[in-house]
Amino acid sequence: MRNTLLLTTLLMTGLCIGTCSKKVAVAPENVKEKSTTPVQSPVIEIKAPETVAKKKTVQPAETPIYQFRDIHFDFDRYELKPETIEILSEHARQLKKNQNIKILIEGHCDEWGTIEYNLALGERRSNSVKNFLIKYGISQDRLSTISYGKERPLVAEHNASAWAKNRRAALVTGS
Amino acid sequence: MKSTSLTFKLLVLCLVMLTNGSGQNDVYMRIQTEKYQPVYLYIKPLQSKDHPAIAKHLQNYIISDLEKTKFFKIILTPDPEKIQLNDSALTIDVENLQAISRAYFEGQMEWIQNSVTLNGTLQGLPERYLIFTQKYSSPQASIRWMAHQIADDIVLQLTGQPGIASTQILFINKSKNLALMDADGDNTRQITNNKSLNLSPCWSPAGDKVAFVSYVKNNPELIILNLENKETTRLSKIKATYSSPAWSPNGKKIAFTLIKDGNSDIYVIDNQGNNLKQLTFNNSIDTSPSWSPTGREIAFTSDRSGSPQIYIMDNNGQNVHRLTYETKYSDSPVWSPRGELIAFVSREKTGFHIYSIDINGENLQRLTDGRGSNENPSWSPDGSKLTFASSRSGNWNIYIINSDGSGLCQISTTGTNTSPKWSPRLSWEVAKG
Repeated sequence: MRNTLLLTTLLMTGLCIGTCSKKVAVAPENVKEKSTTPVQSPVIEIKAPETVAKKKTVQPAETPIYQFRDIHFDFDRYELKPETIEILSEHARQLKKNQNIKILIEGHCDEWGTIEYNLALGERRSNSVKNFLIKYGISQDRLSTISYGKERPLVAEHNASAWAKNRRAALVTGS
Repeated sequence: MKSTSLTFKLLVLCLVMLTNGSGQNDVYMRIQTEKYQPVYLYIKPLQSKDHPAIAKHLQNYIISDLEKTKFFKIILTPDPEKIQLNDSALTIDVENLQAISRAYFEGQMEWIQNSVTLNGTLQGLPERYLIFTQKYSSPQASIRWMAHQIADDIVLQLTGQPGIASTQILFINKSKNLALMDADGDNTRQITNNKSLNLSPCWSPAGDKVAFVSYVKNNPELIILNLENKETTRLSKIKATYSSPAWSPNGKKIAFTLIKDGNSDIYVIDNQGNNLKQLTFNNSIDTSPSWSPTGREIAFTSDRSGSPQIYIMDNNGQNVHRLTYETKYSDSPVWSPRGELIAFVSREKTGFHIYSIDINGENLQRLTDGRGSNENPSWSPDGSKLTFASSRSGNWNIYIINSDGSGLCQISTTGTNTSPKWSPRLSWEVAKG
């Protein structure tokens, strides 16, 4: 009898050691407990404001400052929407006026896709903008593209308004 | 005898109480008893007069590794002979006791110049024939890895296939750098250190190198990092956007996505960055290649049908066919190590969930539930488990799940950890870094 009890205790010890939650080393029920800790967004550390401030202003100082507004897209789409074509046409006119400006077109996505797929989708979005500007008569050597997929969201929130703002092509000026 | 059966009932009650505490364990236990006939493994408690705490740790690490495999029922006992007499107290399947495979592991610990040495012996029961005897040695700081090696050797001898305790998981950490941790979540360390973005890491089949996408020179390109000498090689030679590298099983080629003029297609290149070959020629998004274990075929994602779905093609780009129809939006295919399954993610209301499907398109199974999104699945080298990133706790962390969806286990806690890739089996030389 004593042997059996000892054995039971030992077996129980073994079983406890084997359970997963012990291995995480924080708290035994940590999977559940985690959800009560403050929600930390995966994207919060991205320096969106700095990007906006630095990249969206046209220098030099004698020309009036023109804001290259973001071009937004529908979910999982890269075609230009009718309402953005007007914005983009104005961007093109500004680029014709200021021939020394070069543009880097960044393609971005919302968080509703995998990292890899969004990298491809972001590239498509930046390319849609690039092709439009080329058709408008902007020289190809003034335009380059890069995709950040879902890695650099403008708004680090998880709602429809944030997703809409993050599905964008951002025009960054350089010379 | 009566008291024995009472003890057994108490034990069952305890088990029920234990499993009720967590739904995941409930499934785990069921799988363990229904699908697998476990080997009864008797382990002699490890003892060390001078360092009893270390002996206890080592023992717990070994047991923990073994229990995760589902192959064993572990019984700690100083004397296997006595246990056999009382076996009826332990097993529901008393009549088949003779058919149950039983083994006994005994380890003698010694200290030699600040190193822990363990002479391990595994015997078959009841005859006590010698299965193996092996001497393990390790600095005190790395006894956990020594435990992994002991566990893997026991698994190999008793099941015929090597265990997965001596493996690591590569992932992207909060600073968007590459990081490694042991498969039990221990020993996390960052292996790149740049202030740029690094994405989509993958292992070489030997586990000595990793390939990844880096924005370190602004434009996303393919980089190979040699884990032994820390040298990096730029694989991408033409200017384009590179993404999702996947090393071929023989180590000679890397499949990846190359995005030019907005269009993304799948290419292969040799491991020196030469002999670029385009495999898909499609106007839609083709990405996320994953080799079959033979290297003969490649699974990938394409939105050529209107929404992203999983496709399979030969390694020369021929014989393309669609695999997934029942899921509306599918991505991130990963071919199982034994070749019979493909795991992937499918988008649902709250985010992605992990699914598996037979390579003939049948037997679709959802492996995850709950809230948040579950992305980037990656198989353990024996195909028994998957690791993936999930936002289910409100922040992105790395999780492990059995291939049937049971036994969910969180292994990272620091947050903003994504893109896990399970390593092949690693030698200590590679693993210590």
